[in-house]
This record gives sequence, structure tokens and C-alpha cells, in this order.
Amino acid sequence: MTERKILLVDDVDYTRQLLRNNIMAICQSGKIRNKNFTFYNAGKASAAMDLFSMQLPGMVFLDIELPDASGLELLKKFKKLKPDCFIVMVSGVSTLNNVKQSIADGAASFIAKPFTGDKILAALRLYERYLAQ
Amino acid sequence: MTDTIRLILAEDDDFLRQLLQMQCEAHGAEVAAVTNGEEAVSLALSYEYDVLLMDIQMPVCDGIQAMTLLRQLGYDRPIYAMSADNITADGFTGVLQKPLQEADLQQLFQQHSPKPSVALVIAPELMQQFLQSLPQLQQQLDHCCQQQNWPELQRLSHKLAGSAGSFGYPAASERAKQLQLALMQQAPSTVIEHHLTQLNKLLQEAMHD
Repeated sequence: MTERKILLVDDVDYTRQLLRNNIMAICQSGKIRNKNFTFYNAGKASAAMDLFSMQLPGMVFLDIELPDASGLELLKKFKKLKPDCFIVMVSGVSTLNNVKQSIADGAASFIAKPFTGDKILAALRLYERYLAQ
Repeated sequence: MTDTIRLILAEDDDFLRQLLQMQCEAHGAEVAAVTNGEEAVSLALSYEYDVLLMDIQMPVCDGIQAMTLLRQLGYDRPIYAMSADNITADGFTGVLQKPLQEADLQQLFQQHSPKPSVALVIAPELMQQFLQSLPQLQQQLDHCCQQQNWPELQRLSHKLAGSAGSFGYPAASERAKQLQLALMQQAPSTVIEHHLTQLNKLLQEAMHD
């Protein structure tokens, strides 16, 4: 099975870890088909940009509120570098504007914090459907 | 897993909304009633509801826009349009003709049951890490408040709202959101201090759990 790269971008270390643990738990539970993910982590926009350019991941969980830049700006740069990248925006503020702006800038999905298993599963299932297209 | 079906009811007409809420509750449903499409999108994205019933003509964001947005985001739970008109937009699970008949609601509740939810896995060491970060965070919050560094206080409360909720402290998360909102609205410092005091209490409780 193809190895898929996932980049997790959030400035809180344990939040990235929480996300990674739960993606892995969902993979192991058999709720999605793909089980072979490699994870990359970044806490800042600058580090995320470097990692993205080097690894060109297939999927990104991208927090909108980063300490050194807006996640929305980063989203545009990522989509320019790799237009088929599946990017899930993550934010504590799920206003219609935030959601619409994310979609307009090329995001595939949107997770409103706090994280739950159902939200993460929904994003992963959508990614699988996207890959199957 | 709960055996109560949870439903979002989006309807801007006060009378109709109350009537529909009573009808759905009579079927044993737990109902979250909202008055526009934006609130419906926001609630749906919490993934805490099994079915969404949506009026079409609503202020802020109409029912078709809200459904389209949710489907674009991969929302795969049932969304029903409620309308007296013929709705042809792709994405609705079905259309309930207004005025809603009891038989239609009966059929809806027979077709849909509560969705088992996927539990969030929180490793003990991660929980420990989160709890250990709280004293420093409290110091930072207090310091920002003393210095009246509102942008930084807003950033910290925003972060805390997300992480406290994810780690199973909804009351602290909610209070952090209220603090963030007060800062965004440039509320008087007494209001901000009040929210911060309450937030500190909740964080203290979390640390001594």
C-alpha cells in the first residue's frame, strides 16, 4: 500500500501529538482503508513551509492561528506548490467567513476545535474519497 | 453511546421553530434549534448531531448555501430541506414538504438512529503534558492581563479554548472562549478580569483533578 505523507501544523506540541495519535488510532481501528502514514510536524509557519517544500505531503492539517503567520496565507502557498494537496484547515473559530475563506483558498475541509474522534474521522474519510476519484 | 437521536433544527420563523422542536422532542429527539444557516453550519461541524433539518429561506446564510458548504467540507450526515417548494439542489438527503406532517416525521425517525461516536484517544502522558503546561499558561495569562497586553491575552485564550476542549475540559474551554470574545469586543477590563478569574479557577480544578 502506498505510503502517504501527512504534515501536522500547530504551534502546540501536545495538540499535534493528540492529532497524530488519533489518526493512527482510526487507521488501526479499520475505519479507513489506508494504514500507512508518515507524519511530519511543524509548530511555526516558517518550519511548515520548509517541510512542505521538502516532503510535498499529500495531506496537511493546518491550524489557522499560527504564531508567525496566518494559516490561510500558508494554505495559498501550499496549494501553489502542490495543487492536488488535500488540506484540512483547523481553527477554534468556525465562523462562516473563516470556513468560506478556507474553501475559496483551496482547503478541502475544515475542523472546528476542539478535536473529537468524529471530526478527525470525517476528514480522513473525505481524503480517502478524494484519493479514490 | 447514547440512544437519543440528536438533531439540529434550522428555522428562522419563531413560531414554526418552536412547533417543530416540540414535535421532534415528542419523538424523543434532543433538539438544538438555530435561526440561520451560519449557526447550523457551526453546530453541524461539531459532529455531535445525527440529523440536520434545514429551512431554505433563512437570513445570513440560506439553507442551500449552508448544505452546499457542509457537503463541500465532507459532511456526510443526513441533511433534510424543509420547504413548501420543490427543491432540486444536489446534496440534500431528502425534502420534507412544509407544512410538516406527523407521518413524515415518524418516517424520518424510523430511518435514522443515533450515530455511534468515535472516542478521542488521549494518551496518559499527553494528558500529563497538557496539565503540566497549565501553571505556566496561567502565569502568562495573568501577566498579559496585568500589562494590559490584550492581543497576546486573546491569542492565549484562543489556544486554551481549543486545547482545553480537546483534552476533556469543556467548562474551561467555554470560559476561555468567553474571555476571547470579550477581548475581541474590547470589553471593559473588569469584564476581562472577571472571565480570567473564573478561568483560573477552572484551570486550578483541572490541575488538582
